[in-house]
Amino acid sequence: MSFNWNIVVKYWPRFWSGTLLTLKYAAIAIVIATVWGVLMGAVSYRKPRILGTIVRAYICFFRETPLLVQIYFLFYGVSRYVSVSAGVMGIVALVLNDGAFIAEIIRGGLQSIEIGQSEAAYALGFNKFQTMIYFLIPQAWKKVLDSVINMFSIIIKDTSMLMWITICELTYQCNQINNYSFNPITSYLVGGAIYLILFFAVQGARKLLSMKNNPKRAIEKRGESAA
Amino acid sequence: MSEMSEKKEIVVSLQHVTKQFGSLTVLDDMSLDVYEHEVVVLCGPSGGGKSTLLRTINGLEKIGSGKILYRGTEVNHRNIKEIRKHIGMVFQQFNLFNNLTVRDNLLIAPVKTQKKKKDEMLKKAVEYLEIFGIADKLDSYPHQLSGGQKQRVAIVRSLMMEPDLMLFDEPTSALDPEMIKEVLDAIRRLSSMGMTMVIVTHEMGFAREVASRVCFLEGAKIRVNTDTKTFFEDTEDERLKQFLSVILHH
Repeated sequence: MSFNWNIVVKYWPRFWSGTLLTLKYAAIAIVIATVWGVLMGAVSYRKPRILGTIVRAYICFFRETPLLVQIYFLFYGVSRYVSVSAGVMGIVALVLNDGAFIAEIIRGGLQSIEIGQSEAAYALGFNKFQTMIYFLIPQAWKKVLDSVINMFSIIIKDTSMLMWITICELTYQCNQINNYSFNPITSYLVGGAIYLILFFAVQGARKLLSMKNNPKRAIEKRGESAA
Repeated sequence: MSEMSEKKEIVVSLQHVTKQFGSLTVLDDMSLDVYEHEVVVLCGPSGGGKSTLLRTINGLEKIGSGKILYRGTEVNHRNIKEIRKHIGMVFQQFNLFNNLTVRDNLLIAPVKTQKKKKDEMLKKAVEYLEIFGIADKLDSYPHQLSGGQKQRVAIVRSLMMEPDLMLFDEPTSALDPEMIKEVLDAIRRLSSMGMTMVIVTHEMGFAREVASRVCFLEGAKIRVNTDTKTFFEDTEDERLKQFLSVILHH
């Protein structure tokens, strides 16, 4: 048994539909987890008395327990009380889990900004919320952009866990193709290759974004290509 | 107090201000009145409480006891945000907003906190930048400016709020010698415009030139508080004499 192109061709519709579903869940989770992560990161940086403790407990719980446990907990546990689809629960799980990691990245970024930035804002009459929105988050975002985009790659891979709650994403489809074809080498190699292509797409987006973010780097780059 | 200053209105009055960091007393029962159009220089050795005292005026440092009056109103946590809009502050490390261009650094506070019109403010910003010789930097980011340019932008940023009082916290201490002059010139210009200012500085030649009053702070106390001439030429205080002889002849 070895790699077989015929299997790729025969089961391509399954690979393709799995890929689309993976992309769909990843895209939604990335957008919501980023917003959620920035929000939670800002709160955990500010440390308001009660809310700060709650947020830090949340971040700790979701970072330090396995994603699959969280998915099962939400899908089998919480679903008994809140009736939502598997897809929505899947997104919720990804957002809560990966959002917790993004929150920690954002908090680190916020902490690396000199206190003088906040003091200058306060001295000009800005309140804490405005200071966060206008000055601290934009600067922190720039510093941690690479790390956050790295989380996007992780979110794409994390969507594979959703196969355990009936979502027919790429990994689920690879499993199915293996069940029909009895050729795990082909099934999982193609699946892996598709994940790799998605990863390179994210990396390409990262390069574009970090150039936009850092005009100096973009100019140097242009200079290189001109030379 | 001289007769002349008694006729003028008091802008800021610090009354028996005390502050402690843990067991360390950094401000020990300090009282100081700043009159309109006055330039008060705070000087003295490190750890004397100069910067801390300055920062209590706009609430960047909380005080332990005593009170601070701004135009006769006691400053508290409720009115501090409003009062800050009338008090400009220039920092040792400039603290320009790194994520914004010079233009946005100058416009964001008046537009967002004072609800001023953007195009009017832009006109004003350009006028100020021209006065201070940095009109060509409107679209630069802070990291593209020299220290002296940054500090001048920081001064303009405060002026955009039309402040009633300006505070300077060692405005030239982080600058190369050549750039010190351009920043001091900017402050001289404000002084000639009649701006009320409180300045923490080690530039004693400059203090002698622009200050109407000089305070010598040491050991968390205001040791000397007198007019500039007396301060430099006629002081009785032995410790101040010693400080001046070292700092003026180094």
